[in-house]
Amino acid sequence: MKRAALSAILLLIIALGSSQAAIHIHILGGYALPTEKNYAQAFAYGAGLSFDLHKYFAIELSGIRYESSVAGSEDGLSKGTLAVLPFEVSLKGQLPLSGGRFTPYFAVGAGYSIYQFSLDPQIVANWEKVGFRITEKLDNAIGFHIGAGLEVALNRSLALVFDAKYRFAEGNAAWTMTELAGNEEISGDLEKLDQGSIVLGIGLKFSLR
Amino acid sequence: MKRAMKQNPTGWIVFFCLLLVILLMPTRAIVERPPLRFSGLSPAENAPGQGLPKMESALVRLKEIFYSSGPARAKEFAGLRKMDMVEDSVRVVTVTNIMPNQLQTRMVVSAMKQKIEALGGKIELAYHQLIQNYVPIEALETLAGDPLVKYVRLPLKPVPLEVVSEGVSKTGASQWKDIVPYRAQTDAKICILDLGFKGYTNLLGSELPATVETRSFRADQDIFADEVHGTANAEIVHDMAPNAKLWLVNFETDVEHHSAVDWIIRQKIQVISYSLGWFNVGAGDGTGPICDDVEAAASHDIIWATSAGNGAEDHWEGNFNDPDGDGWHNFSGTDRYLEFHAPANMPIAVFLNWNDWGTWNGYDYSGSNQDFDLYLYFWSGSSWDFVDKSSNQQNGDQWPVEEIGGWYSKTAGKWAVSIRKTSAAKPVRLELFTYNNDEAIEYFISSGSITVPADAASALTVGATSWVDDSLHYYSSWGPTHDGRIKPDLVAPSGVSTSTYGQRGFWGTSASAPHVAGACALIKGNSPYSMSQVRKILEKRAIDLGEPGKDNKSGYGRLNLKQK
Repeated sequence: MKRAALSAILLLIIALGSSQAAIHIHILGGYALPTEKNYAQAFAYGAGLSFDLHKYFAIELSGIRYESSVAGSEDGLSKGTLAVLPFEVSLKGQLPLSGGRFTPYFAVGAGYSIYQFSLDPQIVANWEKVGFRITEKLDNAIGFHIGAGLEVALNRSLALVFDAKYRFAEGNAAWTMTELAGNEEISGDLEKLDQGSIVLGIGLKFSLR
Repeated sequence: MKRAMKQNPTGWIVFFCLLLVILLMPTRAIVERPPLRFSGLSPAENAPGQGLPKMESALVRLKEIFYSSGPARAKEFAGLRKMDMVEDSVRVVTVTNIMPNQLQTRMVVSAMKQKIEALGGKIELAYHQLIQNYVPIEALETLAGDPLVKYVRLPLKPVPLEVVSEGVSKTGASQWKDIVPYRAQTDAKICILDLGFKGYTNLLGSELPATVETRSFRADQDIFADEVHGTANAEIVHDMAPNAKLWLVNFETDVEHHSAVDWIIRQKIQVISYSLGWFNVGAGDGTGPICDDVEAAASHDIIWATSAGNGAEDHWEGNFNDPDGDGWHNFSGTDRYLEFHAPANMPIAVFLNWNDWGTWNGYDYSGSNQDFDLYLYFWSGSSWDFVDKSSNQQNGDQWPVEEIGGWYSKTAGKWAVSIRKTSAAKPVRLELFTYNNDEAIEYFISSGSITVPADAASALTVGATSWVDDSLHYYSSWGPTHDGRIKPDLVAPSGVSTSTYGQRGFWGTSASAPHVAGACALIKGNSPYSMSQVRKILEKRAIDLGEPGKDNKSGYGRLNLKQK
């Protein structure tokens, strides 16, 4: 998986170096729908940078962030809050129509997600009250995605973007519980936790030519 | 008359002989009559029970009374000694010989079952080499004489160690009410293994969970068994761990106990709350049949929280001491009587054992050839009147135990026991426990007063403290074990409130053990810790009492669930 990500980045650098393309900047707001049922839907926001390699192809670098409430489950993360920050590289295929007024596109790519999980503070406090410390951490992980969308040009430099992206990712987590008086610790691993999501967004794209 | 005598002297001699026999007969009948209360006989004169090495002396006595005084008198004696009788049959445990392998042992047990039934007996239960059965009194000797039989004895029975729950707040369990379980795999399953659960149905949904599982291993399947002790223990466990699932399991005898523990293990129970104590069922070094049950449970990651015992002032131990060479042990100077006081209308019991158990092989001890007998006396106001004795024969493979127990005491009074050497060639260390006396026994020695199975290495042994000020209760048994290990492991509140015992409170290490069992269930039900880790946690966060560190009075200290 790491090799695939490195390959994608290398491809991007080569493409950027050889292109005479326009550069675009976009910002996006939307809604993240995690595929894991114990994660709540959440507001998402992000930004990105894309380079046209060709009339029909572009490379995009983007990042998005959302913070999801976790209900907690026996075989997944416990009750708490999960902040997700994926950085992604996408290869976009685009088809300008009506003289470039409408541009539908599809995207495929890979990314690296940074996760920050916080256990429910009340649970933590209640356990600390009786002398136990609990911690839980979700490892950052590489993921893949596919997406599609539509750009509607408002003028030569500005377009309205409707974007949908399905992200595939799995993450490993680790938990520990420590009894503070005697330092008696118990820990465990949670492997291949589904961290996938569908992000539906709407944004603006600025073109720098 | 003189003339008649002169005419037929032989006839008169026969007549006088017959008269003499008739006159002596009632006297002989009194002599042979068992001392159901006070016989007035000296112990040396009264020696029934001798000569049958494969039968407990109380059973020998029962047989003798049956033949000498009839079935009614035998039943009276059985009632006095708390033996279980159905018509003319007495409930016993037939211990068969251990065979080299389990198949052979099963064959022997199977053969013995048929023999017992052929003798008019009724089989209740079998466990390994033990058969719990009823047998007609007249068939006792035949049964004991069978070559497949090693020993015939009365069923061993534990005693409730009650002497009440503010302990929930004291131990900090109340602070756990807001705890959200963290990675706990299941609700904790806790079994209260006791003698009876009378009245538990009235407490469901209030003092007990709305539903509980029950199982009786008694021969009569009676979960209530006219005994509230288990119900009070269940109340405390529920107070401590409200979300734990409770199993109420009862039994009466040692054989039923083994079966119950096997079943509990199969149910994947995590904690056993055990507020019972046994006397004369082990060497006090963690070996023996009941301790083996504890170890079997521990091997399945079950915590067995058991009462230490209430015998700190009901226990004596010391080397056999006979400076005057009269065969009687002198407890002090020339005093061969160890005195104690007992209340009216309570069954009293005295248990003697000595350190000649031999080797425990997982089924039985190799046994003793040092023979001592135990005598019980009542103070008449001017002298010690002999009441009863226990004279099991120890000539090789019998357990070094003697036991006297029964409903002797219709009025409150002073009692004493003596120990006599019958046949002993090596110095032994004697240990004696009394039960149901209402004051400290004379010459009591608190050290080493824990009961079985509190001596088991894997048992989480619990002593009793005041819930008010953490002071150790006077009755709470002390360690060490006979092999020198420190016990108890923890102490916990006693004298606490339960609905079962009401105003008088629930006292004794019986009340303490369920606090610890409940604490184990509370942690287990809310966390992913293994039971061995739960045990370590409780030991490390205990509030140290008495001498610094673990000690033989209060172990690691008082149960504490608060942040330390």
